[in-house]
Amino acid sequence: MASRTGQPATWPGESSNTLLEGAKLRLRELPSLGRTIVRLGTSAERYRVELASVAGVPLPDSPGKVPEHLPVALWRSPLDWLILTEPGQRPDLAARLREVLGNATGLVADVGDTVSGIELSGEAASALLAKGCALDTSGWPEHGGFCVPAACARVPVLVHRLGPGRFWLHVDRSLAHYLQAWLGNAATEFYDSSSR
Amino acid sequence: MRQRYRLSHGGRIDRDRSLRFTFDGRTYEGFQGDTLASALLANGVRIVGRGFRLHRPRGLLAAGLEEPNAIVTVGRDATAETNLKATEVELCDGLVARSVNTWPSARFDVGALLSMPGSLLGPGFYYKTFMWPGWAVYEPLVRRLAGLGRATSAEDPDSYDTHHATCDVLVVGGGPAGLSAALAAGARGEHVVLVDADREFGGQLLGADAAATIDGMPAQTWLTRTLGRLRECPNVRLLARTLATGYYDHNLVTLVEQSEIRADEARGRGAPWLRLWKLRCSRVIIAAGAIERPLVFPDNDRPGVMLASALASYLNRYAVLPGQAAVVVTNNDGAYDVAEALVAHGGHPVTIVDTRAEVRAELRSRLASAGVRVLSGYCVLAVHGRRRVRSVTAAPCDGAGVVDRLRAVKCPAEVIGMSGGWSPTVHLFSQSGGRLAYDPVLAVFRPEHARQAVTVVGAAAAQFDLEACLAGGAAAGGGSAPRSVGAAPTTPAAAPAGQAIWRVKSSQRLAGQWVDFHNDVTADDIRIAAAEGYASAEHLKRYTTTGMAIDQGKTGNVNALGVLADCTNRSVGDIGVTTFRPPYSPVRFGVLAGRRRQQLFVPLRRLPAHECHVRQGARFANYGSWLRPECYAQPGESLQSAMRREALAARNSVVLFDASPLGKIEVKGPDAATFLSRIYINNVSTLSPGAVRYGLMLAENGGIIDDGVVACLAHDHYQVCTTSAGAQRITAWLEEWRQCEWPGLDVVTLPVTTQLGTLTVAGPLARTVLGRLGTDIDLSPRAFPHLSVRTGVIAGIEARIFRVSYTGELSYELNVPAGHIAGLWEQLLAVGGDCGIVPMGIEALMLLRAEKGYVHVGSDTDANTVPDDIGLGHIAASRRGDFIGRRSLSTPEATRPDRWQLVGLESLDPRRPLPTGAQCLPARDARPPVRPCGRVTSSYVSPTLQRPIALALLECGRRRMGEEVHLYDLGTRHVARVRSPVFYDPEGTRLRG
Repeated sequence: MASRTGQPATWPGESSNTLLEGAKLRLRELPSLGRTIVRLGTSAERYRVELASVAGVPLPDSPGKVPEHLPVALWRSPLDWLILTEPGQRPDLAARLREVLGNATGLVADVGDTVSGIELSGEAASALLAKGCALDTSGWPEHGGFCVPAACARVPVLVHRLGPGRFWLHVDRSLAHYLQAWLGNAATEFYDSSSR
Repeated sequence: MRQRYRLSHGGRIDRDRSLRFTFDGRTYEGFQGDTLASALLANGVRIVGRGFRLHRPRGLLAAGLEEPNAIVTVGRDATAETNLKATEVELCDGLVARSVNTWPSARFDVGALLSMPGSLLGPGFYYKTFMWPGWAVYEPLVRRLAGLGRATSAEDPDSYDTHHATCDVLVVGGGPAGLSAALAAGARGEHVVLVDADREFGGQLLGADAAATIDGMPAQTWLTRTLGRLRECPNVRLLARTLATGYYDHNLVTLVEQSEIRADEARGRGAPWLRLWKLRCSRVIIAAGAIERPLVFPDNDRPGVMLASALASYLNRYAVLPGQAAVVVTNNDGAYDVAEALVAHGGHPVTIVDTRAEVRAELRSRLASAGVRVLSGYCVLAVHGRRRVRSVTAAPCDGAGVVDRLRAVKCPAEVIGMSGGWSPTVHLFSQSGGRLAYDPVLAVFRPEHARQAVTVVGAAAAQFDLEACLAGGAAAGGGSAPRSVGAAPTTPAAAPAGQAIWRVKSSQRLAGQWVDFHNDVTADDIRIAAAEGYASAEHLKRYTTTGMAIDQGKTGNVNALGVLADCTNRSVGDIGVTTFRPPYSPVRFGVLAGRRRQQLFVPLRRLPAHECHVRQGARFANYGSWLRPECYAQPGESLQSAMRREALAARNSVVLFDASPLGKIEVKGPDAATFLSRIYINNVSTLSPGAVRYGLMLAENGGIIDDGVVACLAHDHYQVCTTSAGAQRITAWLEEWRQCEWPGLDVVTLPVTTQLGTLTVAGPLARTVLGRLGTDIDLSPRAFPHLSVRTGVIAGIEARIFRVSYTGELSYELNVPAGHIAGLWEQLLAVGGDCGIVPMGIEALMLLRAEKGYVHVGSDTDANTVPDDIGLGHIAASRRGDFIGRRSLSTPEATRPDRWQLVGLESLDPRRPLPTGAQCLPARDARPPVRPCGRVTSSYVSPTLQRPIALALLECGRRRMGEEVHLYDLGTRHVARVRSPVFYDPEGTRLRG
């Protein structure tokens, strides 16, 4: 994957908390990315371009393709996005987005404390995801970022594919513990416990 | 002699790998490749089970999943799996199997002696046999006798997996039609999944005579080559030991795949043994074959009577000849091949009893030259031998099945193969919503009109000719077949010529003629049911139980309908067919549960300060999908005593409560007030910034669905607070109304339940403790009164503080970003230490709110409780404008004078608290069962008041203050006095302090 400068992108938190590691699969907890939710009423749609400009990333119309680099805006529902930024890079983003909206019918929430991320990577990542998630990933483009809202192990998640064999699951922090435990249990066949 | 009935050669078994197993405590031997059924048959075990109802000895009827008699439990203790069919159990070394519904064994079953006479257990016996003195007298005995195997209560040691997948083409059934379909679809480059429940692909070819040919080569060679070609296709996935169990909307098919390794091996590795597939398919090709129908004749359930196809399968696939002397009873040409195969493998004498008067001369002479006697125009009149077949009496019959006893002949028989034609396996097609049509020529129900993208081919589409199966499969796989079914049925060898004979009739009494072996239903039962008016297929099914349970009418369905048609002078097509329901064959609960067990049973949310609560010694419990502290018990303290201690602290000093799960939804926009005024029964438009109001939400029927407070943050910005359990439900409720009903309102909502954590500080010293944290908010009662909200900084954190109370005490709810909750929790405990602050669990909170008479929606209300029932009718009555549920509040039902209303109850015996759920009796001497006139909804022992208190919904409750009511609960009686539901501080001075 390439960054905006053409250099290989360095995704944050390569050294973050690894939950499980084997030859075919690696599970790790993502670091505290900047996470902001923006939700608009239809009358505030006209602010979208300006909001995107402040966020530094287009706000997509639908689930599907997303940029391969941060910041990235993930579609959650109509006129509703989760904006991810590099850790510590945009602490004022929520406030600036609120400024743009002013009295318009829109709400902004800084959910850095509330949304958690789990990364699944390796050749078994798709197979592990298929155990708990009914998404049909067969139609997804082979390369590039892709994101759709779904449920994994009955937990609402945003399934965010960064590239082949690499997924981020964005989940409410209150449910992250359950999802981690579930993924660890389901992943048993993909790793040798002695290799952890 | 070991395996006395095993042939010296042939079969798809490995004679070099001998396996030992036990059945009903006896040890036997079989070979690798055997099923439990084939191994039992090879060892001469004839009785493998007992009839469900009458406990008659039963032998194997079939060789596949349609087996109705040989139901077994395999394994011991925790690993025991029951209600398996012996025909689906692959033999392995050390296998332990027991028959079900028998004691001590299938051979000698005491149940057969104890069982009630058949005359008492006729159709619908539940409803008519046990009328006096009452069903309750007989119920324990009937329940003891009912049922099949007993499931183990031990923890299941196996693990299970779930797999979601998609494919272009799913082919169900690995017989000739299915293989052809998979090959053709695979050649088109489509992503194909081919499944078969058997451990090998091949379907009927596995039990076919060695002489059978396809494309000019032996059928077995064709099978091997075809499978080889399929395995070479990277886009084709072959799943053996995989049963398609259900077919749902949007072409979702569920499969249960069994691992290739043995269950105990998988257990040892911790690997899943069974995997539930949820497969979404662009199209489905059903090539599930057909099931041979039994013929209905007297004593056709005797051990040794089996389907002709099963006889062929045991002979050819497993090299078992169950008996030398054989009789083949048929109404079609197909079974003649079985007779020939019997002769070829040493069967003698072999007799064919054909119900058709006319048999093709060529067929007759071919069989005669093989030494087979053919009795055409005959029915079986009697089967001799109770525990195993000894001989058969056949007699000429007319086209209606009426026999001429005077011309009866007796034939020697150790085994009887019967063939009443073939029923297409239409279960999956029917589950998909497809319509079936009755074909009177073939006497079958076959697929007619598909509702989903499904094609049925081969014998499942009543194509009984091998060439047609191959062509139909290839056409469907290639996508050229019509969307519904394959080609029209070809001339089937298995079609009965002329009218089907559904049962044998005689002027004299005949022995029982079984229609449904699994549910023990005879032709006579169906006749009686029809005579009693149960003449529709669905009524018959429920009255007689035919076609129910794990069998799902695989062998008995069409015969039952045929007998019903015969008894009521209708055609089978006019009667129609019952509904086929998933699963096709029983599925373990474990595989449905998958990983959803123990700690992973449900997704439980954790509080942001979870670790703090752990350190405080919290006892956790599940409250509305959150794992929350029910109390903070000190060493040696029970829940009750911890709850009392915490409640007293709230009344006397101060407590800290983690209320983070409270639903919090922000609502913003110029129409926010209008929107919320329609959602709540309260008028939100009149709220000024900084004000908070308690409100109720109703469903369209006027029933209370949630309560809580709504806070005005700005003229166009509100925070809705819901109950903890209702957070997600109310979020969805608001969005549904906003998006679907009132899209014209300019408003947006955002749930922030987990973004904002909530800590409640409550008690007379709450203000003191809060003030010590340092805040820019004026906490004085004048500046920050009850039912108001302030935004500011507290302990250096931006916070939204509500002054609301669910305890009846001075109380503040601190809403701060969830990441700060743990720190704030620790700080509050630290600064409140000298005030005696203690953490409080939910149970104490519930007690405190009950003392104040505050309802807990869902406990003190139900779906029919309207605001007036809980004393809040004035809010709706004084309200201008519309709101959800308003119209329903004026219906006669909602305004009935005798509605159940919220009251307080005081037990007249202070030592006996009223049980929650106790029913209010209409009179002192009323004896249940009687219509109750109320119920206790909450009950506690108040440590503040030092007596039991209770809330109840009571008929005309508010008019009955001071009256005594009598209550009943699980055999105990109580007396209580009706009073106001507010037990504590009715003036509300404490919470306004």
